[in-house]
Amino acid sequence: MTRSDQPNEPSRRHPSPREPADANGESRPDDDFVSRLLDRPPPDTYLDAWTRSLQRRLGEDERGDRISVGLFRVAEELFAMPTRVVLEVQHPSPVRSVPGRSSDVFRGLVSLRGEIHLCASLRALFGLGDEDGGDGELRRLLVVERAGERWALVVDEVLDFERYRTEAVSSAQVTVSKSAVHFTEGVLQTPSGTAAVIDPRRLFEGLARSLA
Amino acid sequence: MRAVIFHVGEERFAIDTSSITEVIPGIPARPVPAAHAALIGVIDYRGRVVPVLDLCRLFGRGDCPSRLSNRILVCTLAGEGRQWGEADDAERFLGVLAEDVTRIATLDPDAPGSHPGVQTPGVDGLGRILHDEDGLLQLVEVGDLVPDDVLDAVTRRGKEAS
Repeated sequence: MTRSDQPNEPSRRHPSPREPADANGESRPDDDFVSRLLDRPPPDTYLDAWTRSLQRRLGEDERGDRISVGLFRVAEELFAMPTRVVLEVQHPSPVRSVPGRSSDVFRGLVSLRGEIHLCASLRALFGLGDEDGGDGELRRLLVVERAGERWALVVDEVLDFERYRTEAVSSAQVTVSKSAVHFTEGVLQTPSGTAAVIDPRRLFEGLARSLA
Repeated sequence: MRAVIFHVGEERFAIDTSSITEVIPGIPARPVPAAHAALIGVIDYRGRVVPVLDLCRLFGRGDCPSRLSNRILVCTLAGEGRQWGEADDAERFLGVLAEDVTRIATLDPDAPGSHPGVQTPGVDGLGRILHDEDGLLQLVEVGDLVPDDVLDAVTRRGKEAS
């Protein structure tokens, strides 16, 4: 098992441990690429982060109940969507309006990878203005599903998905706008700010009403 | 058996996954003076002090080169007749630093054509030599790599603890 059969790799600091896959001695380009990538010396930040991470006892951060949410922004307000209803986050696609049906809330239909989704504006549903205002650069479609109903929701920004302690959720609703309060079940303290936690049941009821 | 395949220098080796607790990045170990030459030190592994063995050193290949693909295989040493201190889990782990830990494969140690292995003076724990589609590889018995007293000296836990 020598490397002499692969002379075109002078940049290796060290003979690569990767061996060719097939009996003909031909190397697999994908493996070669991966191998070279992994041959790099590890960045200090990577080792430091892992050293710290591995010092934590397992389970130390896992105690207690957790809620997993995706943080997103509608207008200037922060919301938290329970991850269990989130299918994906997509870049905005052209919305095809449905004559006689489309409204401020129900915008129409969008095609995402060949699948047709109902599309709704959370700004309109939450009474936070319409999409024309503000910077659309970060705008995303948050695709959610509950009990077989699937919606693509226009939101102004998707921040991140994270797990929080359930203790971080409180029932105070003071920061939530009046219309949005109907669709939330509490507020969550996050490093990005206070987010209103969406109640998927109420949200989907509200979305269904927009079709009526 | 399922085995983690890794490299020491150019040769491939494999460790049975059932003896591996976790595969972690090759974080720097705190050196322990005057320890066994292949023991590069100890790491803080989830609140336990775990000695780390550099297989490159143990197999006489110099230091393991610093690479992104280096991994420490955190192995359990309990079982197989060995009774490590039940009271303190620290003694039951050994970190094994290896290169290019990128694959897990199903191996049959008793496959026809496999070789029982060569007795290597000074290095225990080298097992059967097998072949798969990528060539030859040798099984490593983690528990036999380093004598117990060497590990005990590093973790400062004598046999009397068990």
